Amino acid sequence: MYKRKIIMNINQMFFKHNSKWTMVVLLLMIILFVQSCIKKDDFNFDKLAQLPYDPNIAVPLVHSRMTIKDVLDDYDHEHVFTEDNTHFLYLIYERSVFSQKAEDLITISDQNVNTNFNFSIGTPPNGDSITTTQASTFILTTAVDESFDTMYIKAGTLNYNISGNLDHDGKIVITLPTATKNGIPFTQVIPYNYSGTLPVTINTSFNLTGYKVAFNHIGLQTILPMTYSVTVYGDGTPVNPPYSITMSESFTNIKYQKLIGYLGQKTFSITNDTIFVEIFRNNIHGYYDFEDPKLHINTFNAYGLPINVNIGLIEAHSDVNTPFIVPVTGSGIPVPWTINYPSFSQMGQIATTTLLLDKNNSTIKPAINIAPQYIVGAISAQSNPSGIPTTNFVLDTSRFTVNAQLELPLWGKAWDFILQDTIAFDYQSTTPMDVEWAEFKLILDNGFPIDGKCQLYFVDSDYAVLDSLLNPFQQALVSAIPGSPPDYRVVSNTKTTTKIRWDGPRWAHLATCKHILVRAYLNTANSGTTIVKIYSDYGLDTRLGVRVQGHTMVGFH
Amino acid sequence: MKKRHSSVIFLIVLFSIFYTGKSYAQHDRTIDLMESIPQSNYTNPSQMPMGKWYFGFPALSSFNFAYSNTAFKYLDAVHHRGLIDDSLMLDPQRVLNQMHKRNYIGVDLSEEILSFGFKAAKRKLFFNFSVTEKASARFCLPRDMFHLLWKGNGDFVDENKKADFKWFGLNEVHYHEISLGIAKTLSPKFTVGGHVKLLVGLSNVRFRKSDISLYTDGSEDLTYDLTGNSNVEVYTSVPGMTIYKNDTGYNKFDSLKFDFDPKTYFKNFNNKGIAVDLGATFKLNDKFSFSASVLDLGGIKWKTNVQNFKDPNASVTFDGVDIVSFLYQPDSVRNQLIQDMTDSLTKHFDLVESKESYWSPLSTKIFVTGTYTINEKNKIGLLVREDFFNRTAHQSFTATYNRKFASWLYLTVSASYFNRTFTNVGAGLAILGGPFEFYAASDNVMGAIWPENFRNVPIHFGMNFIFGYKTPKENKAIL
Repeated sequence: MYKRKIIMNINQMFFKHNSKWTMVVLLLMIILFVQSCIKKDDFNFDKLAQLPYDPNIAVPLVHSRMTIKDVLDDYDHEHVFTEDNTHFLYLIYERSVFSQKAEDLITISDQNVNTNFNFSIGTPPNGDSITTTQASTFILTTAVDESFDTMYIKAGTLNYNISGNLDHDGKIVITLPTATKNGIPFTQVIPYNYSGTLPVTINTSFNLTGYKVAFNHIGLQTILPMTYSVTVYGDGTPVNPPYSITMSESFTNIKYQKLIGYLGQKTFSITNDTIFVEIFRNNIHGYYDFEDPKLHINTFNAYGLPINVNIGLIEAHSDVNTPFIVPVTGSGIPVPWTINYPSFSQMGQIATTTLLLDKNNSTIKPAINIAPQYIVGAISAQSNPSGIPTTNFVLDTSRFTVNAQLELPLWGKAWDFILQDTIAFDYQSTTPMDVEWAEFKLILDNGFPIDGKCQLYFVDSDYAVLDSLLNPFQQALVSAIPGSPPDYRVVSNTKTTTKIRWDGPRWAHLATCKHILVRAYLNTANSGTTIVKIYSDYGLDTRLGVRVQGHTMVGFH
Repeated sequence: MKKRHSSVIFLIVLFSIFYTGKSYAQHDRTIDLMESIPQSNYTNPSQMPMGKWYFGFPALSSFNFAYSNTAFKYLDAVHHRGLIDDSLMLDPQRVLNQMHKRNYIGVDLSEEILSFGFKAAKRKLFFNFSVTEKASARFCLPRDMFHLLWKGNGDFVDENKKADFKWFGLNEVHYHEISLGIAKTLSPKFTVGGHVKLLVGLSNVRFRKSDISLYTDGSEDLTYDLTGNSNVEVYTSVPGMTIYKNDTGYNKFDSLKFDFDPKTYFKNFNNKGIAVDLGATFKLNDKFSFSASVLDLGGIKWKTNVQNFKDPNASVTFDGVDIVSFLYQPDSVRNQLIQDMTDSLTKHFDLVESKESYWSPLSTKIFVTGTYTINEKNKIGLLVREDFFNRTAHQSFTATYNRKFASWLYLTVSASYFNRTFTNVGAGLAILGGPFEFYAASDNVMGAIWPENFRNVPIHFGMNFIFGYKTPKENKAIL
């Protein structure tokens, strides 16, 4: 009873009178207990383990449409593409073999005349004068077989270094009767002033620019007539003849604008020259059978005189293919080759002469088909080959040019043709993670009648091959369907899809890779046995993508 | 007597276990039906709290914080490796497995500086006033973006679908709110109320439009061509922040600079806005009542420090490098070609900048509540809440049980579905000592104890002084 009462009282006390405090204490205890449940270890990032990261990524790498121009434009900067109205393509290699201006071939040397004027006169009356005249001729110094008729001077000077013993004032009048400017003959007056001492010396020059000088001839000699007159003024003193005046005249720096006459036999200094055939230059290996290659040798002659060209030697040289040297010979090469020249009525114009060497009149076809890196030619030329004097002309700007043009129509066959390029590729810096596998997808839509194989070689810094991409039997490029003659136009494109998968261990070999060698093995259709023509609108559409499964461990410390 | 003791102790213990006072939501659900708390009027403007008048403890009358993540909890992302060792591991795969198409990570914060309210006209009118500092930030992480970053685009190729990053972005707002409210009992059955709120914006980042996608074409005829689409509109008003573009002529993002000055930041009163809350309560009978409210109807006009960027409908496809121009070129030329190609691709995503002022709406909410009064001390309720953001409605549901233990002690427990989780057990507590009231509530008390194990970590607590809430009958204690 007592116990129960105490318990009841305790209960009453505890729950009735202390209920609020009880709740508070209970609350605090439970809160403290619960707080201890928060796990700080869940946020201890020092214990964070490495995270395996395995992304699978698919990206496109390449999409290009290549025409033959794109490939060869970057491959070879020396050529010019030409196409006709059917878009059929020609490769043209051109080189200027020789070119010379007339004023460099035919020059006028400085001429020294040195006329002496000796005369005797009576004493002129004071305030009056006496004149005496002397005519002379001057023979120009020219090449042995030159004989000028007319010279139009664009620059030049007539110089006088006079020394005289005339002891009176006077004047000297110089006349070149056949040198005219605007129809007026060259006449100059030189004052002669006696100041009490002898000899009297006078230095003077006259500009001859713009004068047309007509020459006389004795045989082939070119003669220039000259007239001097001396006028003595009377001063009341007696004269003391005989007198002598030394003219010491000279023609210097004579440049002509036009020269007419017989200009002699000149040999043009044509050194051996070379046409580099760049398309074959980067060829490691390859055979061609161009159907119709042509070599054009062109002359452009503005000299008004006959010229003969001698073609001594034309050879095709290959460093790769036998027989390594093939001469170009045949009936198409004339000996000598007389080229055209402009007539007098065509003065200022250029006469063109073309020599065409093709498969019908020369050995140009077998010469080209060794894929030569260059063609060497040895040519010479001579003016007035007959040696019979005739009237020639040249202008200062007249030029005689010889060029050679190699024309390669993209028509024929090719096989075992290898193209190669090198691309820098540092595997370590390019791939930030390990590759478990990678699958390349190559789609080629080929509009060329060319098939082939491509290979990518992964090489180290010493170009030692580490690995190659493609299966040797994979032929990624299949020829478009060629058409039939005479156009040989492709009938339809050919599309191929090639997938190449590499698994992880193989990628490990590329750790030291620094370059990728891209090598293409090409043939025209049917392994180079079918004749094809290449048109400018043919294209190769190339798509390359890759899907990679990567793997790396991401650390957090 | 014993039953009462045990029930009370049980509830207290239950609450204590589940409450650590760490998290809350701006307009949390649990408080909505806690009539003893004046702040319950904020979710239902027609609700008249108990008492004749009150004022909030300055700066401590309502502190409301919530972290939410609709996709994953911390322990999904970082957890122990179990039996292997005691190290922690990152588990992006588990995070990815949890994710939905759009995933939101947000933080909401509300700090009431000043509040008071009073009843008039025989308690048929209720006026209230408050000044509150509000901030929220919500980051949308599309599942496809996470998938792409973690696993690459290989899966998208296999499934032949585009990686959709729609609504990727950050929406942030910080503003002062000055609220004036009134509630009126129109009839014994019908009460209406509302708040008019003057808003002063401090900072805002708004991704109004963010429609970005990446498609990898794995069809037979192509080699994984990548097509990117972008239609983005971003509006910002952040004092001290400057977004720089590069010098190439393309409006590309280059760098971000912050030069924060608190004085300038908090004294910026130039971005004004207005919002209204409306509410109504209908008492069907002594047992059932229903209420509905619409909150935060309005927005802010941003005028200062505005930097907006638009990238309208850009689309670009990358199908590989055009190798023709690379053939036989030296590496220096190739590098330049790659740079030129990169520039030409990115120029499609030009950002057009403007400094025009703009309007940003608040995130409107709708509350619909039904309550059943069991008796004077016990009440149950059901709340349906609709949140509107990113042009989508997001629903949540809450069931509550309210118990009035005494005139000085009120308890509420709740169970909610929101942020795509059902494991949200909430609780609320209001203790009154004289006019002084302390309250605390959380829509997910478990989240407070083990935040790493829950997606929602809300907390709301505060202190008020309430006068005129007791009747002689209510002064009787329960123990």
